[in-house]
Amino acid sequence: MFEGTKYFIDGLLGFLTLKTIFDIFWSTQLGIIVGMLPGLTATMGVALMTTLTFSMPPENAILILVCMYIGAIYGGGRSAILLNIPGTPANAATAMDGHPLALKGEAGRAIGISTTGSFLGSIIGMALLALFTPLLGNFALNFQSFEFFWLAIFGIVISGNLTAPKDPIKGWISGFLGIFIALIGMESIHGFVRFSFGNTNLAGGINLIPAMVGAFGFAEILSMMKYQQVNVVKTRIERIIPRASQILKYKKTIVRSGLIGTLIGAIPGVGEDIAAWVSYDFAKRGSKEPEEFGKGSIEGLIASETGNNAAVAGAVIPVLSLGIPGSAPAAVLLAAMFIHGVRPGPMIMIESPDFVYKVVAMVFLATCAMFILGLSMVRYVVKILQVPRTKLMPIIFTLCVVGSFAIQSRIFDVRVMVFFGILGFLMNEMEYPVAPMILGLILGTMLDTNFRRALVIAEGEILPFFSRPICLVLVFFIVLTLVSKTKWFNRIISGLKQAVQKLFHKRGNHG
Amino acid sequence: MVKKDFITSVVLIAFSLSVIVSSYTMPRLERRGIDPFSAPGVVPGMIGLILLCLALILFVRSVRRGGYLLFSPDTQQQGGHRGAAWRVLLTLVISLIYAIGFLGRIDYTLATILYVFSFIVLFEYRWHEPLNNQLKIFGYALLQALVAALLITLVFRKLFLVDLP
Repeated sequence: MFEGTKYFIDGLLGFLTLKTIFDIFWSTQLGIIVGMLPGLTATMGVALMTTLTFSMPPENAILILVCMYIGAIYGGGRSAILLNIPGTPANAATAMDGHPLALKGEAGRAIGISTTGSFLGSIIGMALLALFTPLLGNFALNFQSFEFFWLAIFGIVISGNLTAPKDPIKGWISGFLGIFIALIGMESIHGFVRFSFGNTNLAGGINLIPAMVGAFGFAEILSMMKYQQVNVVKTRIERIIPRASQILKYKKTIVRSGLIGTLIGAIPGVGEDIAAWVSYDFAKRGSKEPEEFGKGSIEGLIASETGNNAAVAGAVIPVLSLGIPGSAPAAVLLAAMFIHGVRPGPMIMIESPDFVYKVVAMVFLATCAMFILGLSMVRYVVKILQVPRTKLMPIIFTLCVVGSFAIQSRIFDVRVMVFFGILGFLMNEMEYPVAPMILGLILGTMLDTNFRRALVIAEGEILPFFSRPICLVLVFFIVLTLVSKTKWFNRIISGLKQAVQKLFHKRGNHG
Repeated sequence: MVKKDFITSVVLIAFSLSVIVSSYTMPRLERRGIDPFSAPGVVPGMIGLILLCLALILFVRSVRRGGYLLFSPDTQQQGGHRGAAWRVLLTLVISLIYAIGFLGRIDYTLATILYVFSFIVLFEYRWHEPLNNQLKIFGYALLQALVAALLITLVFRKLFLVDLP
């Protein structure tokens, strides 16, 4: 614990140079702008930044990426409030109450409250990141091939379930399709090339960054161009800094949303959008004024913004401790760490524990920069929202091209980006979530290697996959996730609930 | 959506079957004396089977809901949908020409100028109005295309030392 605090302070002091502070501010501001602009998501921003920071020292590069990530998730709230279009999917719940507030002429107040909510959410997430990463990392040291196989399956199943709540089958299809895509190219055990059809580029496999830039960048451009231009709400932005009493009134909602956001963020492949919706839903259920939700409720706005920013730090927990991303932008962050020679995973607490706390310090600095920038220059920055999308989208596409090309200097990667852009767009149209596919793309190699290795260790026996204690827990959660949406399961649960209620009612009467 | 589900389920069934077949026919590398459980086709075969099961569930569900009636009256598109489809198609075509046709064949800066300029003009030009009233669109589009292309080239190549296509 004390060692962790020492590493954190050392990390923090190490970043407090004039150049690093400048880097923190420009990258966070850029993140806010990227997040604000519909069509540019946090994933896309972090992917582009990975390209730009390619030649920088690892710690500086990762710091800039964390700033971009936090800035973008926060920035998306601006367009949700002023345009009723979430800048990133994470801010969809923000639009529910933020936009009605703007229509009432309280855009400034809404921006101030969303900034404070994001700040507090991020701080709660950061504290939990510092607390749980070492615990989870140490626990994961017990994992062997059997557990890693189930962990990959669990990631896909839960991500599919939560990103496609109406129809989880589509989420699972997306996830397993991602695993298949990860199997293209040379496999790591025998060096055999699979599904390349003689193409030397495909033999090298599909790179994550071009795939993500396509699925989250180009697909978004195509989706945005479907619609005509939307007008910004013409409102005067007056007082931005919220009153302390206003925030203190909702302290319970803030803490609850922070905890929910971090937890959902930490679930593999689930991300900030789900975190915001779940926080919003819980806030509505626990509110004294649930009828105000959707009409400009301050509580609703705080809940969604606290939840989504807490999820950022939450999504970094499995990145560092398991080498599995909690969200799509965290997946790019994970890829960037690998590019810069950092190997996150269970061994990180043994090999470089200081790095974990450096990331905590990065989150802290980015959060502070976001808070300062979020409450200043608002009137000028929102002017960017007035740029028509017909002028903005071609620039974003040229950035998609550069972002996918630059890391390996291959035109093939530009083609991969275009392919995943079209695939992502079609998937959106057919209501298949893209996030599980990307998670599958990351977990595919882990699943492939560990499944075959485990089979060899067990000499073809299937029993060890089910008899080891951690495997049993993972299998239990996988089955629970698979059956949780079925009618018969819900019938059993509601039957059990009624039986328990009756039992307590009887006891109460006797008492 | 049921019709879309029906079509995607058929595509997915065909796809997963082809994955299963190619995994089964994949070399098992017996000559190299490797453990058959670590053969390269094991995991793709398993993923193909899982995808097949999921696609079959989707297929049965969509058939039950009448998704196979592909040409029933509600498939006719409304005007708004048609406009959106055209905008998407136009975006796709010019972006493909730029990314697949131009890049790697002509200079990056020139390709970017052409792309940005044509994108803005195609979407902002009002076809039913006379050209003389809209010369401004061409001027501004050219200016933006020049500034954007030169700035991206300069910032990425010189400042961040990044390779461009």
